[in-house]
Amino acid sequence: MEDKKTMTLNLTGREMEVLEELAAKKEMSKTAILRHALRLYQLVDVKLAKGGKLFLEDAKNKKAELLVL
Amino acid sequence: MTRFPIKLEDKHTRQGSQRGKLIEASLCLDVPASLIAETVARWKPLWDAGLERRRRLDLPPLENEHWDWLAKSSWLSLAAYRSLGVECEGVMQGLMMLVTDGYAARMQPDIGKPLVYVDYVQNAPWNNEDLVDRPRFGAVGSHLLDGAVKLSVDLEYGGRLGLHSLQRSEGFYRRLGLAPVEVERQDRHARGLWYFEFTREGAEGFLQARGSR
Repeated sequence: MEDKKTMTLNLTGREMEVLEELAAKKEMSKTAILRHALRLYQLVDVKLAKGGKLFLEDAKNKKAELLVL
Repeated sequence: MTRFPIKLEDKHTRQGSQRGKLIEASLCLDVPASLIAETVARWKPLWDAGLERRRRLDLPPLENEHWDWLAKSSWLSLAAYRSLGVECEGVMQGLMMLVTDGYAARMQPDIGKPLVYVDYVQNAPWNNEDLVDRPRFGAVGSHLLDGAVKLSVDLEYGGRLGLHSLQRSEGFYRRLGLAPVEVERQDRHARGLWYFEFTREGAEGFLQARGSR
């Protein structure tokens, strides 16, 4: 649907493994995973900069953990 | 803003049981915030008149009377926020705001996989049967949903899509094949509303039925 720009990305072996694991788990290409991660990172970063807080809740214990990015 | 050609039925040209004339229109991806502001200003007089008429007739208020498109469209500076519009005769006939990241599927077999979330969707007041006796253009909402599913496919989300439906729209989403998942209890902005979802399979069926795969 949109024009895209191309870049070369250098990853460590471990980072590439993580990317491959996520791509398999989410059934997406590695490129789509990185684009998704980038948009999500910007979203969280901007909301935190505006004074928001990010919590992760443990569904079992209902314990909330504050995340700092 | 990118435009894709579509056609809208002009209901005012219907004769008896015959379908109305089809008019050339565009599905617009990434409607800029400035055009959303211009559109909302253009809609406002008829929107206000329609709400006033409902009050005079003792009809209940609309569930989306409080929506603030200007505040919402300020988020379009972020890559995760996208907008869609249906344009016909040089005017937006409907608008949709989407969030492409931060939401995950709740239905098997896609639980945990990303989806496109429909945040706001609204018809122009002259197309809204709650505000006028004879709405002008039909199928604006289904064209917007079609665009959202295709965006989900483009992002490699397989067409997965989620939304919280206003009560009056639940039948519309059911007819289009979205699955009712649960009444929302977590999200404070949507508490008490039904959450609907297209799985990958549901989205494929939707696109196939519309002949737009």
